[in-house]
Amino acid sequence: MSGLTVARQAVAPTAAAVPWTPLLVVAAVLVAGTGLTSALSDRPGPLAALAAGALAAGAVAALRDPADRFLAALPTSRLARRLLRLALVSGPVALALVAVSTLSPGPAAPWSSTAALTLAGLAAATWLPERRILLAAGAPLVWVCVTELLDATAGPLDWWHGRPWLVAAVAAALVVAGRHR
Amino acid sequence: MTAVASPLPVAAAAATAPGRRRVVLALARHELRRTLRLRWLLPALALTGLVFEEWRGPQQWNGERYGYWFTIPAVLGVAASLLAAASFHRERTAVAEASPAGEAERCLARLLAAAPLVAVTAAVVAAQAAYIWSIGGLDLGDEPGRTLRAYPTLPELAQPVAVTVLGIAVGAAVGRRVRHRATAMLALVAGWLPVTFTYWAFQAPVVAPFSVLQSQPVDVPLGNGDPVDHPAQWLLSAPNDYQVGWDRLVVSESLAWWHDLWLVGLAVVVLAAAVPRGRRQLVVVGGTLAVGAAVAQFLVYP
Repeated sequence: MSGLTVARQAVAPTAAAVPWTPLLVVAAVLVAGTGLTSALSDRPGPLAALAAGALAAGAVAALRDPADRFLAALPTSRLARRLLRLALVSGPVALALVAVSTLSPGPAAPWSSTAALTLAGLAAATWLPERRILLAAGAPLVWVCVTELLDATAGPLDWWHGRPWLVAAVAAALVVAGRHR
Repeated sequence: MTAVASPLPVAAAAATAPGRRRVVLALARHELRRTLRLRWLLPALALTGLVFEEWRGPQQWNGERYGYWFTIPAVLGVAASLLAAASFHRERTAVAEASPAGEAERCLARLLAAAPLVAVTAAVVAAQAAYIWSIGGLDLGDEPGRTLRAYPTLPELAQPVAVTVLGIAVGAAVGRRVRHRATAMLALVAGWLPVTFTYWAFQAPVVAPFSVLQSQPVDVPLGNGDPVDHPAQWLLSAPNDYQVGWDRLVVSESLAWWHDLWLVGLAVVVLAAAVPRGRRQLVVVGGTLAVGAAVAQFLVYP
């Protein structure tokens, strides 16, 4: 059976098992917060950039799988299962990004940054113990918040925004290196 | 036999008032240790220090430092919110009904354990105020209405402390009521983002009384007159990208006091969602306080 067939058959049960609530709640709060802020002021703000971090965190939180240990014996690797989950949640993430970008008077939410931050969260989830998935989910959000708080527009702290493909490449390398964990 | 018999004296002792107090204090100490073990407070303090260093840097416009000094200790308010949520989320784990400490005692203990977080914010605010005094005050206003010796007033200094109280109440309510810990934490952070990072969006006269972080001074438009015609002691703000004419900058202590009270009232209302008993009383008391403080803010708004 090819990998694609396995993935196709796994879509429905995986979609049923994904914890959608964290992502959907975060997306709803972000869209409501951005809508309220833009209704009150047309001054450009950092909400779109912060949304990239928060949505990446919501996507990584969807990787939480209480059945992870039981599924370890299956031929489908944990990495493949996680990538399938990320592919499933990418739809709501994209919709929320479009909504926040449309509502926000500032620059649009960066797609490349969201992808880089999600991969960074996946890398953290790969190397942290399974029960620390919330910590891994918090990593991209904390990164973005710290960058904005310190007003860092240059240097490694801003790489999720300035050099997202570098961050994505390093994160992907870390994910591949830890694929057997 | 011992394992069955030993809880009974504890339960009997907890039924008395002094015994109940001991149980609550013991639980609070235990909860505080757990809270500190989460190791979120130290990174939050370190981040506060870094933001403080960034705040001390060169200003981009006159009065910039005065305009957002209060956002620095607000970082601790958000951290307190997350810590309270983590603590109250543990309350969702079922405990035997025969436990010597009921949910009311456990809730009280969790709130007591959160109190030191308010003290930490107060200490950071005190340190920041001491720094401002040590450098002889902050720059505020534009010539001809400018001072280099502006000091935040006491009610302004109290705002981050009140925000921390609100943060604990919101965290407690979300932690107690939201099923999944990840949802509670991420929703809290997402909710705090607009009110902290874009606090300036909530400063219009009709919105400022209901804001979480209220910035001072308040801008009062003066029209297109000559700025030198106004009294010499007035602080003024020159036209810029966000204002057409000259504004008078007014630091209103009464507005700041009422806003602090609004935050406390709001915290009491929100806390009602986290407690097992006395919800109606909390909503009535907190709601009265919040509504009264909001109305008073409109009345004293410059």
